Amino acid sequence: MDKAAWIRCVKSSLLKAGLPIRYVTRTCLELSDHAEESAEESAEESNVTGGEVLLLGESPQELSTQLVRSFRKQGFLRRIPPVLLLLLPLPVTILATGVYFGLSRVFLEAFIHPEKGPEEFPLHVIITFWIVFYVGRMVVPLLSGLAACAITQRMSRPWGWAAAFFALQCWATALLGTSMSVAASEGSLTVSLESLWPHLMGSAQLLSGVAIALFGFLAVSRLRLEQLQVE
Amino acid sequence: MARRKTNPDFLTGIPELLLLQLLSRTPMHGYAVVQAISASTAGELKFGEGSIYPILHRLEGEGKLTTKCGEHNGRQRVVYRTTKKGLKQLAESHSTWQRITNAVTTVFEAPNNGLRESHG
Repeated sequence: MDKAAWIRCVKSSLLKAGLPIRYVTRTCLELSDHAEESAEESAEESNVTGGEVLLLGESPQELSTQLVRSFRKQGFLRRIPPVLLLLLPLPVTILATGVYFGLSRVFLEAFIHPEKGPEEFPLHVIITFWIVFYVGRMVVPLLSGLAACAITQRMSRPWGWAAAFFALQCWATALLGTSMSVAASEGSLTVSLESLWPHLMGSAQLLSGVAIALFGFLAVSRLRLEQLQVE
Repeated sequence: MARRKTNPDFLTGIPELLLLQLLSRTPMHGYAVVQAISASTAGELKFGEGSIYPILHRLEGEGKLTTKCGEHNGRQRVVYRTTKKGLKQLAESHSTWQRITNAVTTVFEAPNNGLRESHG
């Protein structure tokens, strides 16, 4: 196998395994330098010419397997992906819900003053409430999704894992899909969360999450393939 | 097809020790490391790229090696060097290695020393 094909094969295997592009690029540069030097030295010794990879002992598949195995042993997140896949979605969702709840509460308290008694809200405040309740509800899936992306990137696994993780994340988000209720009476403000499951919004979140996961999976696969072809 | 000579299974951990030692003497790139191991052990130990590069990358990730990227003959080259943390690891590993080799040598040189024959 010539050097270029050999390197391309290693690169393709590493990318398919989900290793970071930066790491793959640097490793391939190193291997390319290694192969060049090996070929030069062999040519000097035995008058062998051409781009054959003479001293690279392992096949590209063997070398990539060892590189991937070694890479995945480094770091906590890379070592326990199945555990992450099963256990993390729920805490991540709870955390994201907490962030949403906390931010919304602070925001609402800035507008509602229960000590003043019932009051007429101006239109812009009502519109803002709607944004908080309905558009803002996307914050939880968004935060959960971003967390899922960040975690799966750290896991260095094929993107199928990321898609599965994201889908589970969406399921957890839908399960805990929340709606906020606000009650202002007798000088106190109560902001509480109610589960949407199994109502329409929860199911919609689940379906949209799965759709986004599939779309992301296809988009990333395509990007990686394009990058491979360009380089 | 000629079968390649493989290193014995008990050599796990040896490449790391050799890498840290060789790179503490002089900074080298991957190919030079592979050659240096073979040359400095008179060809007795040969480790392929599949062994060397993963270890180099891991040691770099652990902060025991540092790298410098440069250009050589128009090619990008990554040169490794042992860090202080790597030197500390090297000292510990070397000490362990000496204790183990001494222990194994003792067994081989005095096979009946301290052993009782089993009857039964």
